[in-house]
Parts: sequence; structure tokens; C-alpha cells
Amino acid sequence: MDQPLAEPRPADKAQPRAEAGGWRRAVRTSLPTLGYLVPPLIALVIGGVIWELWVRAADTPTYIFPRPTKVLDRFFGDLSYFWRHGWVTLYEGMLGFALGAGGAILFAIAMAASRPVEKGVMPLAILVKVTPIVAIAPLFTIWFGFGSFPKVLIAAFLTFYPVLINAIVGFRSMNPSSADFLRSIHASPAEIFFRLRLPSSLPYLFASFRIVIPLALIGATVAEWFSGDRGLGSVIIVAHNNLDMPTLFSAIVTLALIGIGLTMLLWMIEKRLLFWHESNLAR
Amino acid sequence: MAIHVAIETVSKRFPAKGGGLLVLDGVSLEAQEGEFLSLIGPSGCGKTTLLRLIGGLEATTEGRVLVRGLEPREVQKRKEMGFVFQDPSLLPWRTVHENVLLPLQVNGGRGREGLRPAPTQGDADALLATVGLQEFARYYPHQLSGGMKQRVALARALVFDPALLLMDEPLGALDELTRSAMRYELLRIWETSRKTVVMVTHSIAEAVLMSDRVAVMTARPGRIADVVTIDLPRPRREGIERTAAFLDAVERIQRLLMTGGYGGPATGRAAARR
Repeated sequence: MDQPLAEPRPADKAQPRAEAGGWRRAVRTSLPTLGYLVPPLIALVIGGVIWELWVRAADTPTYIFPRPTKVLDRFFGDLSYFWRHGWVTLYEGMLGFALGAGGAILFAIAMAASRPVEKGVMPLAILVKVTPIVAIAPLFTIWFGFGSFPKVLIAAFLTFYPVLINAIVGFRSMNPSSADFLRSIHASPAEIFFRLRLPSSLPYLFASFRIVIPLALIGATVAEWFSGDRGLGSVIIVAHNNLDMPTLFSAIVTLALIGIGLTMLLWMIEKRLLFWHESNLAR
Repeated sequence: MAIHVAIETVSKRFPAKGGGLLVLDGVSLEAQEGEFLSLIGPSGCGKTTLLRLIGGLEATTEGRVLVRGLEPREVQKRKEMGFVFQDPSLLPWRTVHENVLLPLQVNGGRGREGLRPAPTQGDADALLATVGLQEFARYYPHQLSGGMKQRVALARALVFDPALLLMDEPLGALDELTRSAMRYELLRIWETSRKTVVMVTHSIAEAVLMSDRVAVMTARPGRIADVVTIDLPRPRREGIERTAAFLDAVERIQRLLMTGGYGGPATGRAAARR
């Protein structure tokens, strides 16, 4: 009489997937396999060839529109230069992301716990959101100087609102029966938060991270337009002023590579942490 | 027999426009030690609310609930009750084994004042064997069927070996075939331990099959229409649903539900066959 009532599908039984959350699986499933990588690369190469031939045929001057070969020449000819400035932008953007996301999560915790806090903070959060970043970037230069801090701050501002909104929804999206069960065994509110609310909110948080990480990079880049001589934003402005198109395009390529790298990294972390979520079970 | 759960003229009113919604109105009921008691009644009659009052998940508006003379919150603290919900409510990022261990990790694994010694990992493993899931300890909930998940929830509720088991339509979300098999599975597990059980159910046949007594409730505001004693021998096994005593009990409950404002089917025998 001690037999399981509903046998799992045979595939499950054959190999208990104990390592369902392992890093190796995360890498295996998230690294864009060749099927994902090859088509866009082919498209990129075709686009590059057309671009090259077109610019050559039209004899467009380099200071207006450089040939891809000239851009690649500039890029690979001075990799360390672009890496050095790219690192500055990456670091400013990610520090801003960490600051903005961390602050948003702390505010969301307070807002989920208290209605008055929510009513007080929400209008301010919306104010931060609707204020155009270009309007405050010059101000920050005046207040905070030419260093990294104003750039970090701009990136943090752009990060704050989307993470806040998703965190609030995420903290409220826990399974009510799971919460009841935890309460029935006398779990404290703090335990319910860390054992249930926080993990339940991760899918929402990661959805916002996917939006916000490119935003933080944009924020850092734009902030660099206004002050300082470090970072890809300043490289772009200087190159623009000198009509040095190969350098400008190389800076754009660097930004794109950083964006792709961050997106892939985020994807892998998400696969690792959210292996249990519907969004990862569907495929 | 001693009284395990005493519900003393309990009323419950939920805040709502125009004075609030009266869900339970002067309910008195007792569950004996080691008894299997079912609560049945029309939708919205407050049977789930009554169970949540016993479990300390809601507070009474009037009257009180005592579990072995203690407030439900105190019983929670001592880990002397286990709760099973209609939704298995497992944590999807934990394996079956980790889910069963969850109650041992909350409050550092003790009653808050160290009132009870913590069970061990071995107890958790033994429980998984009891519910027939020892091979699935390292699976995640999304890899299990609905019936298996509910058995994990049962093991999780039992890990502290509580004297009182509260179940809110534990089989309600399962398909018909799994459901009827799980009834006997639950019975078998219960018969080995004879804990006090209070179970909310929608199914008359389920209530009769499993219970020592069935408390029939009226439509909202919920009152106890009557408590029907089920005089069937134990252990109860497949085939008992076709005995005359079983069908009589079903019909008695059916009649009580109909006078209590339940628009169910006309005859008890028809209901029992479903």
C-alpha cells in the first residue's frame, strides 16, 4: 500500500536533476548557443560589407562617415585606450546601478511595510523619474565637480525608479499560503521576509535589472559629456568636436560590447538563481 | 477522552462597508484528542475562517479558541500544530527535502523558548518515507505532480510531530483520480499516528470516509447546523463507500446541508456516487 500514487514522467525518474541550479547548467543553457550567435554575426558581417562598399563607392569623407575597416583599425590599434575609458564608464555605471538598485530595494522594503512611507516616497520617486537627466547633469557638475561622483549619481537616479516599482510589486507577490504556513510555525516578519518575500521578488527584480543596467550605462555616458576627461562619454564628445569619426565609432563599439557582456552576465546569474521560476521552466 | 480543541461561542466579523461582514456567528465546537473532525458547509460559510482561527492565523471577534487550554498563538510557538493548505505552498527554490526541513530552520529550529527539542534530519527523512517520497528528496516542486506536492506539504506539516493537524481542503486542488487515491493515503498515514485532525472539505464523501465526526455548517453567517457522528469501523478501506452505513451518513449530511441553504443535488446517493 506504500506505493507512490502519481509517478513522475519517466524522464524525471531516470535522472534526478539534483544539480538543477548548478553553475554549469546555467552556463550551458544561457550562453547563447551557436544558433543564437551565428545568425546575428552573419547579419553584422553582411551589414559591414555593404557599409564598406557604399562608403567607398560614394567616396564619403571619413570625418562624416568612416568605413568599418577604419573603425576597426582605430579600435584594435588602440585597444588599451578604449578599454581604459570603457572601464571608467563601466565602473561608474555599475556603481550607480548598485547604489540606485540598493536604495530602491531598501525604500521598497520600507514602503511595503508602511503605507505612510509609501505615500511619502512615491511622489518623490515619480519626480525623480520624470525629470530629464540632461537637465540635472550640468547641475551635478557644478555641485559635485569633475570626478566620477556626479556620473555615478546620474546612473543611480536612472536606476532607482524601475527597480523601486518592481521591488514593491515583487515583495507583494509572495504565495499567501506559504506566508500562512510560515506564520503557523511562528516565523517572525523578518524570517518571512528573508525566507519568502525576498526570494519571491527576485523574478521581478531581475526583470528591472535587465531594463536598468543599459540605462545606467547610458546615464554614465551622458554624464561624461558634461565634465571630465575620462570615460567613453568624454571620448565621444572630444572625438565629435575633432570630427574624429573612427574614434567616435570605436567608442560606440566599446559601449555596445560592454552592454552585451553585462546582459549576458545578468542572464547567467538569473538562470542560476531563478531556475525554479516559470520563465525558466517554459523552455 | 480529553478535549483537544475547544471553540467557545466564537464569532468573526471582517471589516467591510456598513458595519462589517459577519462570517461566523456564535460557533461552539470541540475536537477530542485523537479525533478526525471534518468541517463541511456551503461556499463562504466560514469553515476556512474557523480553521484559521484554530490555527491562530486570524483573531476571533468574540469568544475564544483554546487548544489544550492554550491560545493558538502559543500553540504555534510550541510547534504543536501542523497546517496543510489547498495550495501545497512549497517554496519552489527548495528541494523536497529542504522544504520539509523548513520548519526546523525557522526560529532556529526550536519553539521560541526552547519548549520542544528540535527534530532531526533523520526525522525528516523518515517522514518522506512515510509519505512515499524518499526517492524524490532531491527533486524540486516543479518536477512533482500535484498529489506528490501535497504529500510534501503533509510531511512538512508533520515534521515537528505536532499533536494537532489542520487541513484546509488538502485534496481540493487535485484531479478526481489522484484525489480518491490520496484519501486512502491520508487515512493510512493518519491511522499510524492518530493525531487530532480538523479538516475543511467540500466533499461529503470525503468527510464521511475519513472522519469520526462531521460538523455541518450553515450558509453565512456560519453556524453549526449539527455534528454527525460517523459510525464506520476503522481501518477504512476501499469499498466502504458502497456500504449502507456510509450512504446513510452521506444522506444525513446532505439533508443537513440542504436545510442549511445549500443548493446541492437532490439525493444523497447521487452525491455519494460522484
